[in-house]
Amino acid sequence: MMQMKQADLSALVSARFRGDVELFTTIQKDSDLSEEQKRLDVMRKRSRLRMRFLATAVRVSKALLPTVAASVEQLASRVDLGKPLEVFVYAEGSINAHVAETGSRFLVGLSSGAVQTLTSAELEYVIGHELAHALYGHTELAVGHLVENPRFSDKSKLLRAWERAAEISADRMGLLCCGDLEVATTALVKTLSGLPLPGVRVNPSDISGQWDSLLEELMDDGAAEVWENSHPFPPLRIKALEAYWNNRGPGSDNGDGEIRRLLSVMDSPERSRSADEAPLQDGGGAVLARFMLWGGLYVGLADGTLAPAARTRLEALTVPGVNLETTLAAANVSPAALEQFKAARATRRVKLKATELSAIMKQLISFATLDGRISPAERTRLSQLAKELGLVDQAVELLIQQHQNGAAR
Amino acid sequence: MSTETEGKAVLERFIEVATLAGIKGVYDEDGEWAANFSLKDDRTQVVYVQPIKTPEGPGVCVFSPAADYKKGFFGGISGKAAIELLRRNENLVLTRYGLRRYKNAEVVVASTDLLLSSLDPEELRCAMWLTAVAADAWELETTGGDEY
Repeated sequence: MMQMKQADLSALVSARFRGDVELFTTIQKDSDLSEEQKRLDVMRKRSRLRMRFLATAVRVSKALLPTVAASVEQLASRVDLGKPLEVFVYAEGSINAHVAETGSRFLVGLSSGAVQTLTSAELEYVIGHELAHALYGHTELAVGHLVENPRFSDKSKLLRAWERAAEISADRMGLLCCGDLEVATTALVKTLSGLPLPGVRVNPSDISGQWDSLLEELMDDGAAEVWENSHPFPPLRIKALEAYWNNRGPGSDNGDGEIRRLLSVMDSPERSRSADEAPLQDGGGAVLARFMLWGGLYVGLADGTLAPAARTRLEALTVPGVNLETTLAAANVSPAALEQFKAARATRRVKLKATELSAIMKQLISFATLDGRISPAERTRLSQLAKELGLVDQAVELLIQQHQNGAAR
Repeated sequence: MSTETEGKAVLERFIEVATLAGIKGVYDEDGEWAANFSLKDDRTQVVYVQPIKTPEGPGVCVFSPAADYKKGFFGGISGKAAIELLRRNENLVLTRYGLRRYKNAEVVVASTDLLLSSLDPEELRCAMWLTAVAADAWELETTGGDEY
């Protein structure tokens, strides 16, 4: 923990989630959004938020709130925000915090529930999280205003996706500031439950079962409206923190690949991925992982054995309760994979959207062409799977043609 | 659509659904995406697509030309024919007849509006098929030919 306390500014900057940077770049390149943002910047300079805080909350000082003041001072000294920082505590029972940027300073608001319920270390996680929004420039974008503007209704999916990615970056900095994965996890669990949990330290593994169950629910439900959430689900945030913590450091990807897949669960299937974004390895996101896994396995085994490249792709997919090693070791893998594919369709409570059908089929075709050709057995299996999805055989033919034309280009 | 980019994005998504429906289209000489449908008695009918905006979000209008009427003092569609189209509209399922104005002619088309966000391949196949059949029926009755 002491070692992490010495984390310098560059470490904090490099901790930023790449998905956040990519989406932020896309939004900044959008001329309509940039124009509106300039208008909002003028409004921000006239913001009366500080006046409201000064009138209705208590400004953190060594005399009034020494512990909180010490945490704020220590954290702010490590981060060059370029503007003065003021922290206020306002009366609200639940654990909450937010940061805002006015013309001349950054303002952090902490609820009294947060100050009363969280330990000093947990508070460092929360304040570090809020400072990240300031450090990474997240406060430059007034997403709340933009998504409420009907003019930008077609961009709200992109804006919300960025907000969630930005929360991942902020969580990471909070974690680096408190220096302890269990502290960060405990703070999130306290926020979620509202319970003080005295003396409890929550390990991410204690709550990972809840994430698996939530993921299963999302897979069955199609996760239709969750794209509207500004924050990732707390169990997902804990999973993302764990992925970052275990994969950080020179030469590693900070867990970004896994976190992209986790976040894709909350993405709208209609949101087209921007040119700045790295593509998802499994093509269609985690909600479709069961179709990709079982369909991919069925197609991949069409000619007898699973190619190493296909195996690598399948291993990247996360389906709760499934271990690829055990699955492949079992007898009759192919018929079992087909049955599981059918089950994935049957347990899905919401009809698959066209974008999802397309993502599944394109992924399965790319599986079949990993060796550069589609064998007759693979073609037959693709047709079988398409039929299970309610698609006609001409669709498979056209999709294969499209894939081949794309590969030839 | 408000911008060309938005229209292009809608068209790309439409083509994605059309592909899943097994419908192959091509861009004609005017740059319009069109699919050809084979109907009974060796007749064919071409169906076009146009991006539209609906209160529920972006959509497409699939339409098929049935007959054209030259503009001019003695040209245009007759009142009798127009009333007949209105009568038929009352009985059509999903699709409807309408009149599109072009530079030199008015064209009777059958068309169907579809919301893109909920469009599935089966629905699209059905809508395009019904649009083609309705357009072909008017073309056969009024011109006897199979130009479209």
